[in-house]
Amino acid sequence: MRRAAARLRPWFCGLPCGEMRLPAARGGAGRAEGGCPVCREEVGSFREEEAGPRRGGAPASLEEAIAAAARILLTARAPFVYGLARSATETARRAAALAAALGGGIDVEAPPGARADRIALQTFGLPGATFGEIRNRADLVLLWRCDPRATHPHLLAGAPRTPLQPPGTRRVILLPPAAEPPSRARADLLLAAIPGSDLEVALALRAMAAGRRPAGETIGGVPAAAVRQAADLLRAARYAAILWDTAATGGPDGPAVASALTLLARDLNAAGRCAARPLGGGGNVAGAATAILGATGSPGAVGFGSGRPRFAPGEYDAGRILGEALCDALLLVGARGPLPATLSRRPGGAPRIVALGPRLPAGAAEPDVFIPTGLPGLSEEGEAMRADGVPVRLRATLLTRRPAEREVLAALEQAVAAGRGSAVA
Amino acid sequence: MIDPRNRRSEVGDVCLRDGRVVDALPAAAPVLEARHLVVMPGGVDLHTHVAGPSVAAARLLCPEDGGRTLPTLAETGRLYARMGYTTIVEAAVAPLGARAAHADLDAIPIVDKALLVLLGNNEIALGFLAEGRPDALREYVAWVLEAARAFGVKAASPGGVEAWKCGLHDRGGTQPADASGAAAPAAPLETILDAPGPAPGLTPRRIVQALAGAVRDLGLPHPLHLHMNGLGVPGNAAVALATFEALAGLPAHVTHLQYHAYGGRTPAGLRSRAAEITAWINAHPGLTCDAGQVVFGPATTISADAAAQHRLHRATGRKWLNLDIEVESGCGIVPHAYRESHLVSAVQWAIGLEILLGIEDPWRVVLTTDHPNGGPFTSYPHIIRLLMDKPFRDGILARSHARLKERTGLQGLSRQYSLEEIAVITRAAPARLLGLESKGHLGPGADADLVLYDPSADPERMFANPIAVIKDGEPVAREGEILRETPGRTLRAAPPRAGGRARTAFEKEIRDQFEAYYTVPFEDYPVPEGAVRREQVVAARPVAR
Repeated sequence: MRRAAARLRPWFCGLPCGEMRLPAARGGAGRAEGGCPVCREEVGSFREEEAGPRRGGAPASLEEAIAAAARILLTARAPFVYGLARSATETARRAAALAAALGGGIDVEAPPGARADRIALQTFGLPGATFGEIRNRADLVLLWRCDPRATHPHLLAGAPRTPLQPPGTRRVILLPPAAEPPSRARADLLLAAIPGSDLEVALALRAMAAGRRPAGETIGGVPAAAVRQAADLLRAARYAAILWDTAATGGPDGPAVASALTLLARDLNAAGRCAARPLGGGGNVAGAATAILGATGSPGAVGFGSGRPRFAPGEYDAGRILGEALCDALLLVGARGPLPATLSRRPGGAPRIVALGPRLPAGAAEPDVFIPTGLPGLSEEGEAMRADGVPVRLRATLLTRRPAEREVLAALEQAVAAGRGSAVA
Repeated sequence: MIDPRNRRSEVGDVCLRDGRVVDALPAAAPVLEARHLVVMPGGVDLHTHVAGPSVAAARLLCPEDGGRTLPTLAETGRLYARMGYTTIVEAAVAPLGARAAHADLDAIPIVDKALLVLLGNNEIALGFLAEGRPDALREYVAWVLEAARAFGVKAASPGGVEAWKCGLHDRGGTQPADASGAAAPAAPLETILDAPGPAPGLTPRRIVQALAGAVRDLGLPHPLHLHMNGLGVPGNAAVALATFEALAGLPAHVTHLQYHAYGGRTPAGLRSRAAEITAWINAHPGLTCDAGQVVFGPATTISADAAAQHRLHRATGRKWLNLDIEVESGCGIVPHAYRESHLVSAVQWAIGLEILLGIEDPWRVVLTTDHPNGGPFTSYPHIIRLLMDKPFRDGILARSHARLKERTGLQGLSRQYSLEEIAVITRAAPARLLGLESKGHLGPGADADLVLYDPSADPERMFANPIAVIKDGEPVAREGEILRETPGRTLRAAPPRAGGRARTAFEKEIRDQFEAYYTVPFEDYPVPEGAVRREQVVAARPVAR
């Protein structure tokens, strides 16, 4: 590997991230500087010495590995394609086509909170905005179990202003992340809600913003007066924004929390302006879901067993398919993990696993076939989509000997097509 | 053959070679016998929403749609081709989303495609206007078109989306009525054209005039594509008429006119003012429009006019997705359904038909449903029958809401379109209005995109099930069956740009704006060369300066 450029605009967090600098290093990106912890981890973990396809744990040529992978997929009765959070959007489109050709299923990996956020969105909608618009306009930000100012300083940097509007001021209401001591919080108003009380606080805040007065002196550990003050600030804001992390909606009441925050923002738009947005599932979860939407009409959990795409969240959801080991062949493409423990035990060697991507996903045992590829946005060009729906260009900053993920998937598609053709013949 | 542009409506031959219509072929050339069939050029849809982040967001919002109004990308191309349409224009893409829109268009097979970029609320463009720099505005329009690899310019509620972002739900002190019908405009609605904008003097009137002028001066193939202010608000016909006057002869195409031809003061009192609108158009050559016809059934409303979408959400209570897009635009999505028994839906349905039937010159009106806003594009054959068959539309009129007849003038319109007129509003006129010399006709030099219909069926069946569809000289569909999925081309304009130091200085100025207000790097903004699979540049018109 040789250095092609030393600066990188990382995308692995799914947010507008700060520029990274890549010091010279052999065999990988080295200790990258800048960006956010997620992006530094992703870039810093790219190691070319792990290069080289493996079949049954032993080195194999790329051609041998692709042929073996195609055999596994072609002989499966219930193949499943999963991952894509590390992949470029075009790769996700190809993966959907491959799942269709195999008559299998496909799903995009995402944290539980992202699924909860989607349920809320599909139920009530979302009064959203791009991250740039929030930075340019929000005079009040409610940070719910997140503080992107720590990891993404420029996301809310400076005073709100637009090309047509003079600079204003911005206030912050913070409901701190559960893991962070409230004493360290920087905010104009702190809502130190106890863990597990998010729904209670969100419902109370919505009620107060609507002019109602819930009973009780504290709500989820927060003085009712503070919640009322937050409601008053939200109502008085010219352009409020509510941001939350998937950690806030990852629990059993996640869809309800996401719904309550969505409806709070929706109410505030009756007279003023308010944008609400989850920070998303990271990586290219949004782009992969969009690609599969365009190809099938559904963002994931799609089965092609009947010959047509069928959206069946209860049936093709990765949580069920992987958790209950309901597939007999699993194609992991750009997967991050962690994967369910059932996949590391693999009683009887099932399901058979083919993995493509820059590295094995967390929690994955040695797959039947592993083909290491480049990392889109570091060593491969392409397209991705941020959590706010803004498409971003992925550039190849490092040159690598590894094959590109999209090229490997294309070769696998061809091998599957050829295999099916010969089976028919 | 029916070829209105070349004034041919006769029995004859069409010669195809290398994807083009030619004068003649050698005697030994193979012959496709089309006796007793009608041959027309391929259909052209100049206003549809099928690609880009907004449509993707609609798919995400509405899994229950099941493809009825939001087909997959591949199915979109197939459905258009099965219906005999061979060219489509995605009419509203924020330049920031152009990268994703092009990827979507590439995934739509068979048909040729183009996209229009939204500039009516672009803060950089408005900044040049506020500073009184028309040359910079024109150069910026050219730069954006180049960066987005776009075909033309759309303005959606000029200045209105910026006002929505600033918290002004209603323009110019007006108070559009809500679902209860309680509130009425406090000031004449047409004053919204002169409502103070985000900067001194930045009124919708000035934005419309400046953008229409810039598009004209750049010689773009298609004039400014204008979604007027006040969409969907009762009484907004006054805004439309004032906008027509404001254009004062500047070239413009007003889109989905049905949504802008309303009388009354409340939704409950909604009535048609289509007769006034069509009378103005009939009396003033130059302005062109498309219908935005609604059809009864499910729809998904997707619009850059985010304030209008918020009003619809408030009126219907249905779920609502909004996306304020940094610097450039907005987006609102609300699922909807038009019902015969619902007075507002029925009045909208009738107004669209009044527009299509009331504009005397078919070259100035185009059949659209503003897909999927007024209903899916697959309803075009049904609308064609409504236009050709008065007893058929009278039957629907009779069973619709009892008060419909007193709210519209549809019953009094006896016109029935001829096949020639249908050919004009579905292919010849939209091709001409888009400035596509090789589309919408069967003369030598035309693209070999043509459709064979069986005229013995009723018009709806005839146009829904062509006998054959030929794209670039190759059969792509036969009696509803797709034969092959060719990739189609993406058309873009290439307006003239400043050169040398002026260009460098201008791009430096834009770059500074990017660093201050965007969250994507300047150098990553343009859609790169090679990102669009099969691209075709449509030349700018010569412009006298």
